[in-house]
Amino acid sequence: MSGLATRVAADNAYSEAASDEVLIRRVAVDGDQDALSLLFDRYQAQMYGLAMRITNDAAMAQDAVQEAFVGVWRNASRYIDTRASVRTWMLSITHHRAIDLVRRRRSNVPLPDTESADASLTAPDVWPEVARAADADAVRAAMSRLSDEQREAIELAYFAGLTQTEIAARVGAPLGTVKSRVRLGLIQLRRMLEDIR
Amino acid sequence: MTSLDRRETLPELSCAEVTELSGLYVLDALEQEERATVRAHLATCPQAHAEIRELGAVVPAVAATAAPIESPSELKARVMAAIAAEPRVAGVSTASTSSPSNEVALPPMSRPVFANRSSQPTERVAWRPPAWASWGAAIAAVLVLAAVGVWVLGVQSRADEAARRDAVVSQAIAAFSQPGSAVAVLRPSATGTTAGNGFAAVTADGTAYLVMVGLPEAPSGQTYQAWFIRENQPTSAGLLTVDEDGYAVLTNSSAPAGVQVIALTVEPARGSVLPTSEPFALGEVRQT
Repeated sequence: MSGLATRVAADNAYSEAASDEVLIRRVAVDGDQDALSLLFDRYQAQMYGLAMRITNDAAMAQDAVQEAFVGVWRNASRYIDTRASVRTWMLSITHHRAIDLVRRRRSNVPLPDTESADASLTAPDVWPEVARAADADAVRAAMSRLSDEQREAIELAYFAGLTQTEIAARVGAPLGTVKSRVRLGLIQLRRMLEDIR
Repeated sequence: MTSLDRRETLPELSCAEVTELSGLYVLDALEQEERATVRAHLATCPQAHAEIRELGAVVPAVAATAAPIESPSELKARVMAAIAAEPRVAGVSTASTSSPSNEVALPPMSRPVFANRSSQPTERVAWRPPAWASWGAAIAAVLVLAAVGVWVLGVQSRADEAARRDAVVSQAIAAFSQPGSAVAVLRPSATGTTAGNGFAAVTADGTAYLVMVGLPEAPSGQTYQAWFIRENQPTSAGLLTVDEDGYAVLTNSSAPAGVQVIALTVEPARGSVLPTSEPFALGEVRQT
């Protein structure tokens, strides 16, 4: 009896633990919708949370997540070319879609179709993440130790979808300063995350 | 005859300017055109620009500060319906290759792909493009030389053919320069004895272009064949014939997703299903 229970448990553990990479491969190679469905279950909250932070609008955030999954579906084979985690890649696509929607809403000008086609066909760049990148508490603590100017510049660039010119206007600093603050802030952030044991 | 210098399509940035923009670039905060200029610089710059990878590594951390929020329950149904409505993905099947594994990491090019492949470099070192100062200028120079060649020989009947070929080359260059394309620079392999350089571009929809210059005519009874290589598996991209100006052009070819390397071999006149010789020219594909 215990042997059977162990075998059943082991089978369940195997099917539940299908890694992200295996799922992406199934999507890319086999067009496996079940694999995408599992990825949805795993990442919908993180993606929706990110989209909400960017758009502040439930309907728009849902559109961003939907477009992101369509992007994942179409571009899964391109994931294989990155060295980053599946999570990073999917959040990056979500970020790109959400920023795109926010900018369109802000400018009130519908973009031509080729633009949106390009946007969904071209997955954004991703890089292998630092060790503590997924540890939200650690990251928030590190961000709070950045200077106000650096943190604000990074947040405006990443979450508000402002162009560098718009950021400069918003914070009342020259363009070069904005670029510097973002860059130096990220360098600082990286050092702090690497130092955490 | 148009001289398609890449400089005319995208302004060039200095290394210092790229470094200055690196934070905004990795945060995906640059507008489309500026992002394209940064990518264009990174694709051809001999400097490593390690700062891009180092800063890029922190972006997931910034994303993580957005608290997760459970999406409304109806969203999943909408997403799966949207997926179901997508045209069926023509995936590259690996059913015929190795047994399924949990690893997706790119295998190094260490397993032999070609018969008698001996001294090909096997480590996947960070690929640096050859020291072509500016791709656009180099390609344009080749085109100018070809134009002079046609004029000097004065064979007017070839002018139409050359014009058609030039139009295709222009398209290939445009595809190469377009952000979002996958591109490769083809160089003679270490052990190949056939001279010839070129480039390839695969646009976002999978249309492939290949242009080679300086190739001699294939030996009698043989032809040049191009290959898309993905995960050490080659598929034929088509046959190439060299015209009187020394150009060999491939169009109307569709690349499978995830092509990693483009290679050329010499094959029997009708081509082969799989390469029967070592490649004489190779290029690693980079996503722009």
